[in-house]
Amino acid sequence: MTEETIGAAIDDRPAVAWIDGAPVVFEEAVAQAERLIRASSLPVFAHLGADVEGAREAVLLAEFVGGVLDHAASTALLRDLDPIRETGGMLTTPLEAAVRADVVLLVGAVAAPDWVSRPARPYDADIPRRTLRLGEGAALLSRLAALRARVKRRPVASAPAGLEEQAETLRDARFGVAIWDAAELEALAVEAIHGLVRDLNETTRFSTASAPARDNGVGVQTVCGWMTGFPLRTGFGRGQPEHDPWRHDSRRLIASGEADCVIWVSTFEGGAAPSQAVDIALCAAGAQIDARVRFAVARPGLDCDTILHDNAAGALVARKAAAASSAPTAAATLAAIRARLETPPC
Amino acid sequence: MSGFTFRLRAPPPQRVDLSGLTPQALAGRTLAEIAALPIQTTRSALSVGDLFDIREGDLDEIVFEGGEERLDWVGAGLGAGAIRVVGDVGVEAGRGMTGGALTIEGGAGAFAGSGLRGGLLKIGGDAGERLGGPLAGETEGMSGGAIHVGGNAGPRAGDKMRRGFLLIEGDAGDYAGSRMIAGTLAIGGRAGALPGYLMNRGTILLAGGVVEMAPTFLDCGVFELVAARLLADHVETMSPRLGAAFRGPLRRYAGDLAALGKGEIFVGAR
Amino acid sequence: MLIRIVGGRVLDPANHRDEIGDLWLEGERVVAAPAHGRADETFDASGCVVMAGAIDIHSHIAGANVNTARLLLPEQHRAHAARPAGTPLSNAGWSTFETGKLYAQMGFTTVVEPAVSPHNALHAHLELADTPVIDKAILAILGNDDFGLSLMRDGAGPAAIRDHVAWTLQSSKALGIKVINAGGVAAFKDNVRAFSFDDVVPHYGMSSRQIVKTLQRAVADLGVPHPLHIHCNNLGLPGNFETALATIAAAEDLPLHLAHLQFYGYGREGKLGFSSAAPKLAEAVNAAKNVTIDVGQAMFGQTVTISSDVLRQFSARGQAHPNKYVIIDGDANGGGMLPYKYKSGAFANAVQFAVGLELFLLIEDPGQVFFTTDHPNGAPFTTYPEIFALLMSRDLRDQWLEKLPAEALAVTTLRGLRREYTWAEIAVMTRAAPARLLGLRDRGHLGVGARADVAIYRPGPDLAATFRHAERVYKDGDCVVREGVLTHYRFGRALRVAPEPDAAMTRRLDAYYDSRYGLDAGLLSVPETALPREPFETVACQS
Repeated sequence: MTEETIGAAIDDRPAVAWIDGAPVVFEEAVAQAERLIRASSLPVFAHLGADVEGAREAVLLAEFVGGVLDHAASTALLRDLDPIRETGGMLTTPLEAAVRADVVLLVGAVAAPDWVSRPARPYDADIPRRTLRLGEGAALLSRLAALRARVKRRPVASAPAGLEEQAETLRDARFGVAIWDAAELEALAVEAIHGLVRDLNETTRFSTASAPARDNGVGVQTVCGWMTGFPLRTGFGRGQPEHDPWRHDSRRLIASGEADCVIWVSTFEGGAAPSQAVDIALCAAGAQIDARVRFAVARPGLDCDTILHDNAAGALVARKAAAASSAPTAAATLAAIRARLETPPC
Repeated sequence: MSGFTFRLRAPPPQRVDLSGLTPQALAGRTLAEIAALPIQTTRSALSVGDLFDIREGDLDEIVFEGGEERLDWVGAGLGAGAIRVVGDVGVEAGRGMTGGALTIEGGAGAFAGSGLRGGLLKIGGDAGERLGGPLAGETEGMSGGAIHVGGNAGPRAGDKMRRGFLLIEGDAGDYAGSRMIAGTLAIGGRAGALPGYLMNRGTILLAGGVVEMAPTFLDCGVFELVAARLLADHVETMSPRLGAAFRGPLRRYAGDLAALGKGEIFVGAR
Repeated sequence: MLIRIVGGRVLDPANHRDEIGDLWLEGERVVAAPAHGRADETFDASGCVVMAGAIDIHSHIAGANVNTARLLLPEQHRAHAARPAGTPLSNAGWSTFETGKLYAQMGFTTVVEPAVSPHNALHAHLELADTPVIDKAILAILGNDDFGLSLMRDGAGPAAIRDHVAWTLQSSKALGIKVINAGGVAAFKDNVRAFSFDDVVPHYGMSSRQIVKTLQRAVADLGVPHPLHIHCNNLGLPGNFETALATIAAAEDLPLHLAHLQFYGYGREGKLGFSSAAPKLAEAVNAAKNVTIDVGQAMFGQTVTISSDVLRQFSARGQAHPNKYVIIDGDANGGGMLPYKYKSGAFANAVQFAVGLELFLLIEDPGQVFFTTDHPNGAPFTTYPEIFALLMSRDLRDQWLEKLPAEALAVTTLRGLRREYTWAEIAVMTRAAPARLLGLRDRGHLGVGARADVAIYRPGPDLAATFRHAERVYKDGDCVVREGVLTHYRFGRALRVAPEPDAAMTRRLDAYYDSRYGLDAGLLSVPETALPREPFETVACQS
């Protein structure tokens, strides 16, 4: 979509851009967004609920303006990534877990996937599944440690009820899969699960499939990975990409005042609004957001064609728009802002 | 001649990178060159001279007069000589030090002493989370040298520690010594939940008790071991008070049996 | 625009040209010298060697496994250079943008990502579309997938296998088919820990040999220019040269490409039970004109191994350096990512280094041996310049050998090999032969009508420097590299074959995806229009 057609649409179609709450043509909002970013020292791209093209444009714009890239699900994504990149781990895909897992270990309060109630069918015959859950909240870390020790037949100081049976079930798995949601577990719990799975693979097969992050978190992390070499919480303050989970936490940056221009991107249905006013918002139409400049952008897969991470398929997939609309995409909006920034001011 | 002094003029408008202000890095530079060194972490330029009044002195001791939570990487990479901060510092103070002495009279942010390989880091106040720990993707934390914290430490002090000596006079947050590979961690106050979680090897000394012990540490009884006496001697060189605390009988726990299980936690038994 | 490259040594073995002369480019093509003789732009290439752009047939530069490796190793690729104005993100270590830049600066204009699981094909294509300047292609992996193995088990017959291969090529938009430890990865899911050429996959009753031969036949029957590209069983194990020899023998007269043969060049001689078997492999390759191989040269330094041979990567997890790894049981092949450090003082690593060079030097026809490091498994592609220099100078090799453990060299023949590659042989190995192997008729040569992908090198005393920074590189007639530095981006294209899909097989796969996964098969296919900036280009199949 060209900028011209977007701007021309304002008279007979719903507004797509506002400055301080008043509707404006798209180009005017782009110009204002560009001025806010140009005047800032540390622009921060927060929430970042976007598809592959939207994330790609966010990375390009962040690189151009020395910004920071964070995502609503970064904490969970990094909790899943840290044990692997610091110790190691075994993963499988949601499709393979569904067809093959004869033992399913649910950790914490994660919802059991639908397929858990059906038998496994890795080849041409059904195999019954056994499911067990470790969900004791605060005691989870101790429980995980005890289970891992008992899987190796080591003594423990105290054995909670059912521990022996669980250890035996895990040892007897032919291809077990552990499932959790990193958004609700402590970092060390994820580390402990990976350790348990590593130990089980000394004798049998076992893997992990954590619950997917919200708002295309895996997809955005994937794009950030190939474009910058790093996962999210990567910033370009000094020109080169720097991955720093502590410094580049958008909540911290906003709370401390270090971020002086917040660009909130939330294109998915039901995507969260920021808890305080932001400078620039790219959100699905109808979202109640207090922003100096706001764009109502297309919802990926609903209003526009898209590529994003599909949680069922466990891969990036292309989807057609359910009903294509004229709303600008987040990608086109961010690209328009970048195009203005790349033009030196007169 | 007194130390080479940087006096903080005003709170920094952004986080700043002070890793370049070590005796080695400043040797041979003129005052003007030092004042012009860039320290910004955003696209707004900021140099040493914008933030500090510089008083030339003996480079063997660099003094920061006035601290601030936004002063990051103070003493990072220090190899020799001394740096003293009269005030607080931000994150990753003393990151990757190989020698010398970094003294912070106030408190330090997260990841102080991260990846320390040698030298002495002293923090007079409190330390933030992951004291001495690894940064993203690193397979080991502190691997040499010593850290002394006068106050309390945040969660996961000594995470993935491989070698060296880490001493906390006050309380430690949850999961002190998590994923330890080896080395010695001594805590004078109370330890939070599950010290030594997933530790493979190494020694943790707890003078002030513990909130909760993981079930994968086995109580081996109360001993007065020669090895423990040697440890107490070692602790005493840095903290006479704590050395005395570890001189009596100690209860020994072996763990973490969830991991390799060759570590030990000693708890004061008096 | 008409461009004249004047006075260089034009080296174009595909057209039997090796002379001081001119090369004319117009638009995206090489053209004949015009009668009027006037150029819009002239480049004086005196003292330079003018070749077609180089083609890398096997380099893991993109896709789900590569990206997982990036995320696994944040500590190993921090950027240090400031942001370059003309080529954004090309300073970001290991980004797709840096990959495109570094390849282009070495004079490479086409690169094949050789291991893409069909379900991750869209991901790989998206990354490749963000790899600027160069053209790209993927090979799709078969040989461990339930659907294909079930077809074989059920005796579906060659036509059905062929239709499944055609469907996979179409669905993945791939240039060819790769098989990786055929059957072994499927067996590993059933807790099998060792798998050889004649071992049988549990539940499918097929041996690795049968799977390889079935797929080899199907690829040939479809007329896919690139023969089946095989990663053999037993990678990295002492004595595995026998597996490679058995695989070569099993090819009979059909074409077959063996990937990274260095990793199969190991005997059991010597007191450590690990030795070079490269001479035996080279002898077999020299005798089998239907077989091509690429080397997978190992070089010393830190790298990461990225492989869809999940069984092998799991078995090697104890060798990770630094000590971490990811093992992924995929929908079919999956992957294993292990950081690894090749040390010049380590016996085994020195033998591996020697085996690679022995293969280069003992295989006689430079059109049969392809230049790879199996990036990044043997070494990152950034070591190519040093390897070119080692092949072209025995003096340089001798200097390197002095620093290696004598007991390692003693179980190889490298010291005695005096061959030096000529520029013309380099041009065959990296230009003419790979274009032929992949069926790219307008690449790899400088004849009239060829794509104007041109690399110009200025040979100096430091040959590695010569190859690292080409004097000039033209991509589609656009001068993108000047004096060794990329000046700007342009987008490339994705090369693929497009054999006609069979309607019955399409219906069958729709039903299979629905019953096995509850998903639309189309969801895991790459749409024609998926790449917003890069078009697909269809490479013709031979009928």
